Amino acid sequence: MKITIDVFKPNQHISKATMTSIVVFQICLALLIWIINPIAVIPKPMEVVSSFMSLWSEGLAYEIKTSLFLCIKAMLLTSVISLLISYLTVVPFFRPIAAFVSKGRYLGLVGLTFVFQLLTPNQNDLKLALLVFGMTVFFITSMVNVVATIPKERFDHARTLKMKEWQVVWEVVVLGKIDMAIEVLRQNFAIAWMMLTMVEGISRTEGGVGALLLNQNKHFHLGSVFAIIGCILILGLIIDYLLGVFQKLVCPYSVLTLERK
Amino acid sequence: MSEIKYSRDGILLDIDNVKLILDGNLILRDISVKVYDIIRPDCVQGQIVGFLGPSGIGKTQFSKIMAGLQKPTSGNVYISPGRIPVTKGLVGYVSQNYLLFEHRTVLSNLLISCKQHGLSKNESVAKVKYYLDKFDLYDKRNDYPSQLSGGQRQRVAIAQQMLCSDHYLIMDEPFSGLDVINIEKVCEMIISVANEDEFNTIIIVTHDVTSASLISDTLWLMGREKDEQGNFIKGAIIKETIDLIELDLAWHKEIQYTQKFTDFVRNLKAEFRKL
Repeated sequence: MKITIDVFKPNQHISKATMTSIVVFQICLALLIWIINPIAVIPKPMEVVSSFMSLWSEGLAYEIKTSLFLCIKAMLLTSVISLLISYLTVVPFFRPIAAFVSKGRYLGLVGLTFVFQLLTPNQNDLKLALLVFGMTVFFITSMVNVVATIPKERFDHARTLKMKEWQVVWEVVVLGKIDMAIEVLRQNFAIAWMMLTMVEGISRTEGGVGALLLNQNKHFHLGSVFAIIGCILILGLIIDYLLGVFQKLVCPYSVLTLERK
Repeated sequence: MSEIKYSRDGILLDIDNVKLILDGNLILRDISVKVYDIIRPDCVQGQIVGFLGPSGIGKTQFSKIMAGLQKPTSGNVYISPGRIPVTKGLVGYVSQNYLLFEHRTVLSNLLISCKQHGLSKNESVAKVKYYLDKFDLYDKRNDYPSQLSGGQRQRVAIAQQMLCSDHYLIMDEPFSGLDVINIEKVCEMIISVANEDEFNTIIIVTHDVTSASLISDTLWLMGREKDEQGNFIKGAIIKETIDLIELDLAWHKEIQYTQKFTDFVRNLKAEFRKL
């Protein structure tokens, strides 16, 4: 009885088993709603499963591989560019550049496609450039804020240990905020994964799950559309989970004081 | 008069006419203080001095000036040997919230301090082990700072600064947030660190009258002057220098239980209220 009350009260600590039960219950409820829903155009679970099987036999794995490879390449490139620009904001000269790039998040990607088409030599580079741009503007916004909100006393502490200013930056900004950098990366990977279908739709020549999804959509194969959406969601969740595990491995201290660790 | 034989030798720390204006506000003015090397025959005697003042008077800014972390508007702070102007890193500084590198373990926090001080690997390991044992932290060496209690964090922070600084350690409000038992432990620890070397000088900046009086050999009262209408004039100054050795209140064990000490603290607190 007490457990039942606790799950509806704020800031309660509940056991892992209870949390698992809640999750299982909510998934079952969602499945039930899906099965009994009266809207005819929404395909039933079994229809989605059979569409998935047929997509798989037609080479869905290859499309997933293409998309994953593109996304990981974009993520690595974005991380290098964004972290470099964000860390460089410790130098006043680079702050306007970071601010300018950060404002790029208000630009529409579709309008920019033509410009990127002119700047990139092939379709693969075009997709990569669009993804990198889309992620970088958000990554830099978050990471610049992480760097800017480090209290002065943290820098002073490093200075009391005879550290030169670049050493202070390395210790306080780079190493000291590595957990936040991974967290920002994790959030931005979700943005990239969300943008993937759109970017692959702009240039369909190399395939990928995005192109496959749009093709199925065009022919109104709703079972396949739902199967691909489900596949994208599950893959996204797996990558997000792996990034979370990586964060805990690299920065175990980051979760020590959390109430819901 | 003190019954203990001692003498004051060279100047270790010279605060020369320091003035600080921040955002147009006068925070500190005319602060001149000299900390001398105290010599006691047949005894290694470090120095513990205290700056006492009410909250909000600019004590933290003053401690940062002494640590070279804040540049004064005029005047300077010099340290021996060589009477060199203080710069960042020359003097150890333990802040109010006992800052440590949160992404490093206790051991790593101490080892990086040794590295910064230019110690070899073997020296570093030996010194770190010494402080871990001395401060009862050996079992905590693999913990992260967020896993430590306030007292443990403070001890790690002191050890970290002592491993990097040669002889000087400034402690900003070292007794705040501690219970009576832990305050006694901190007092014992400060005395023990100070007396490790003849030139060790611990500078305490605090509003805790009793604790500062208990361990210091010299106290400076910081406060503001009043105008004719009784309003405070901006800019904290040194209002009084108290030589606790001359008053025979320094270096005595269990002095806190004596009538003389109790009376002294009571009078000082009365004076403190007017600052």
